[in-house]
Amino acid sequence: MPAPLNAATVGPAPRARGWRTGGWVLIALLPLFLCAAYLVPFLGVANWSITLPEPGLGQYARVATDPGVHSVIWRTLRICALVTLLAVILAYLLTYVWIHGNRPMRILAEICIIVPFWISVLSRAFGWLVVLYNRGILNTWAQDLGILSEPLTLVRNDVGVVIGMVHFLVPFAVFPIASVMRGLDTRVLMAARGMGAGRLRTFWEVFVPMTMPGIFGSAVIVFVFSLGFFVTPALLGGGRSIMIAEYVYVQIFQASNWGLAAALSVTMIVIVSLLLLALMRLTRVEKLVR
Amino acid sequence: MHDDTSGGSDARARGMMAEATPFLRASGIEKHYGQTRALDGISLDIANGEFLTLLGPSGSGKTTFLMILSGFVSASAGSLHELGTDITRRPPEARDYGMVFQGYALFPHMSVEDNVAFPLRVRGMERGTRRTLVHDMLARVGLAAHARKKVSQLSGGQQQRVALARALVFRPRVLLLDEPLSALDKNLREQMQAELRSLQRDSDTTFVFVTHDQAEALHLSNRIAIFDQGRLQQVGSPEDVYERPENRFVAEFLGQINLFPVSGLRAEAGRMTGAFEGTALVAPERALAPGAAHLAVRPENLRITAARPEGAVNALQASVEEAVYGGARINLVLRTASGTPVLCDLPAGSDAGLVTPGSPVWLSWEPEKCLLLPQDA
Amino acid sequence: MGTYRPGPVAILLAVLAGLFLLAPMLAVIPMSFTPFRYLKMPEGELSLRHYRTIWENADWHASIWLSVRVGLVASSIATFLATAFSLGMWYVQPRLKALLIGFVMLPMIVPPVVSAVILYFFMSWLAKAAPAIGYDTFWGVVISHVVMVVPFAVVVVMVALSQIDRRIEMAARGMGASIWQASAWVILPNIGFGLVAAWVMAFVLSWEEIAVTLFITSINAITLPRRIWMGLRDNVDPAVAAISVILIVITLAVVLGRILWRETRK
Repeated sequence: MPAPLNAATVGPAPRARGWRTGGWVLIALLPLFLCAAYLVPFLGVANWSITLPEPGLGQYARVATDPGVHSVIWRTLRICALVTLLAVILAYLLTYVWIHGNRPMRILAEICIIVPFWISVLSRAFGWLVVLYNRGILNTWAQDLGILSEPLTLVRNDVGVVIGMVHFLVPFAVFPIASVMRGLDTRVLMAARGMGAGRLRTFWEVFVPMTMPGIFGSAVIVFVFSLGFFVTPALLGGGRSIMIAEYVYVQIFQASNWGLAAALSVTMIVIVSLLLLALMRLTRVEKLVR
Repeated sequence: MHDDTSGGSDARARGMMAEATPFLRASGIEKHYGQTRALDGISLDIANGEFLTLLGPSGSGKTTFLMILSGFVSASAGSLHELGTDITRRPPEARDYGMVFQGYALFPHMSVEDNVAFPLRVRGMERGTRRTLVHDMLARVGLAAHARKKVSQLSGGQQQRVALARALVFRPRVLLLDEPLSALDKNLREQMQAELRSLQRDSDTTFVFVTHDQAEALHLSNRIAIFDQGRLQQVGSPEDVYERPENRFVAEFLGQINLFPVSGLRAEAGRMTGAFEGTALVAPERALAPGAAHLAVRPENLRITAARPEGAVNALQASVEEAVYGGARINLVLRTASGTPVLCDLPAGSDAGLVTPGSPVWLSWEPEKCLLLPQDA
Repeated sequence: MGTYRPGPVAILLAVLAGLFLLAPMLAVIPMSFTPFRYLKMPEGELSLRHYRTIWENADWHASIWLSVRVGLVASSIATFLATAFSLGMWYVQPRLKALLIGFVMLPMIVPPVVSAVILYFFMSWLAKAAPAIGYDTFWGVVISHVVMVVPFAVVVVMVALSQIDRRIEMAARGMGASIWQASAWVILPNIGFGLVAAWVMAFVLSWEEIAVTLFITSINAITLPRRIWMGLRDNVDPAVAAISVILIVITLAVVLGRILWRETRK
């Protein structure tokens, strides 16, 4: 039976609960921490770049003119471009099978993508060292099978660096492509096949253009990631094939030239910001994240 | 104060309320989203303990207005007063209004009783009192046996009841309901309508209910406020808005209505006469801009006879085009001599011989059963 | 997904790509059983001596233990900061939303070596101001790792929050709950899985972090990745192969377990 509702009285909710203030308190903690531990130190680094060893823009002038710095920058850009190209191609193939394959193919592709993603960059670089060095697996097999008489030099040069970096970056290249391929309306592809287009033609003339935003987003992300990459080039390049990140490390810990390291850092931030701005202009970043 | 577009019916509705300080008063509420005006000058008084329905098509602004009442949306202009206190800027957590959301917004990780206990818990009520209140409330909505269940184990109707119990358990002065019944099937919806009415009667709480369903609004409300395109079109009792719509939108939105364009209106002895396709039609007098108007009559107010009825004031010749059997009623589509379609709604079984397609008939109605509406701007 | 399927050529190429991705991980397995003290493939005889090194050597133990502690503390702090930030953004929806999110994402976007230089600067300054939490200390590593992993935690928590029906927050608020009550009793219990995911993500990233750690540690705070790095830099120590195999096996088990769990639930 319905109980009377107008008997009990409950007091009002306590006043002045301050959702807005509370919300801003929650928001503020992290930016404050990052201001102290990241933004202010960055300003300090920027300050190094114009005060060490003496005040002025000398270090930037050096970045702009020094042939040694230039050769490092050019090698970095060259290697990063090549790495981006290869990583995106491999990622595209794997993603294609991952999204559109049958169930066993999908699971295998996922293992190939996810397992390396979670394994430490050091273990992966070390793995390539084991495969590629003079007495490594590849050279041993090739010599045992009589394909090679002399071992090929695959590490401590650009080849090793490129292989190691491509390997590291493929999983990162997969995600933007995957998000575009997943959202693709496969009925369009069926329609193309239905109108008599061959498998290859459908792939090149319909599928690839439709996934272009993913390819582009993936390329920018890989390129940006590869620019500041440090561990793999240092291990597989073995001090011979120096890229910009390792060069910065050397400037700080061996040459004690903090000013140049700082100027290079600022330069890299500017380049990366420009690249990301271009990416945001051309595609919507949110779409690539999920 | 109220804007002057409201007619006599609204004045009567206002007369029912305490003349002193209104319980809730919205004055000149506006809401702009960029260039679009979601609400345009809404002024409305809400009486303590009434069941007010905000009715309108989707996009009419009714939900926005409810959100402004709740405090979740802030008005771009205008003010909101509760018993004379300005609450325009008071945040929702400080308003002490119950709210039932579309889709109920139950807490999925809590049991039924924990959901209902939530508003008491945030008020720091001690466990024993809390339990008693929660269980009384659950008993009231018929869910005493389900107190320990997870909300996901309940049916739609039961979830609806939990949402109501949760919104009422802390004795709010106002309960805001945002299309709470729209997800339920027809039978359940009618059952819930009855329960809502009885809950409202028993709880002395002011209910402000948003719906786009006209029948629901007519069944439930003490008063209905009709919204269209961000404007308040009419406020009044269900009879007022149904029988005496103030404009064409309200007339057509609240069910089917026949509109006969009439011209050459003139007033005499409390009635107005105008010509429709050469026939003189008579309706109660009303202040209108001079010139043409619509004479509106609901399908159920039309009579059908084989010959022109003796002494009929309003009568038109027509032929039956189509007859649709609908259980208790029969719906007819007719056409006048000049081809204007007319809808007619008769009790089943009446005048069986006349409702076959093709038969010529006379349509007639009392002047009191029709009204004049202004021509559209 | 319709019936649009890759053709044989695509499958063959994808298999090659997959092999390329798995190759280095498979290669370290035989290497870890080599009986030699230097990097040389075993010839016939297998040995567990490098696993014994990991098992018995105090340096490896200290590094593993340090990495575990750093990971636990850094990921907990990062998850807390990321959750507070994301939750606040979700409640307030400030006009500067994009700017604020962009700011906290910086350590993820900025090239790691630049972040390393920035944190090197910060830690060198702290070494003078507060030596206990500066360069080459436990807390120095924790602070730096929090900076580096917190953007990832923010992404995970924000995704989790985006799945929540806003109306449950409105319901709690409308019933008079304070922001703290609504957070603790309603919102956080509903994103529990996202919080765990953010924490695990932060832990793994801290556990593996090397680029920044190289810049901010030297002889005292040697995390596991740093010790691996030392074992790789000069004369390659096959113990690195053993520890790599252990890490790979753990990762493989977790990933396969997750895939298996998901596939059998379908």
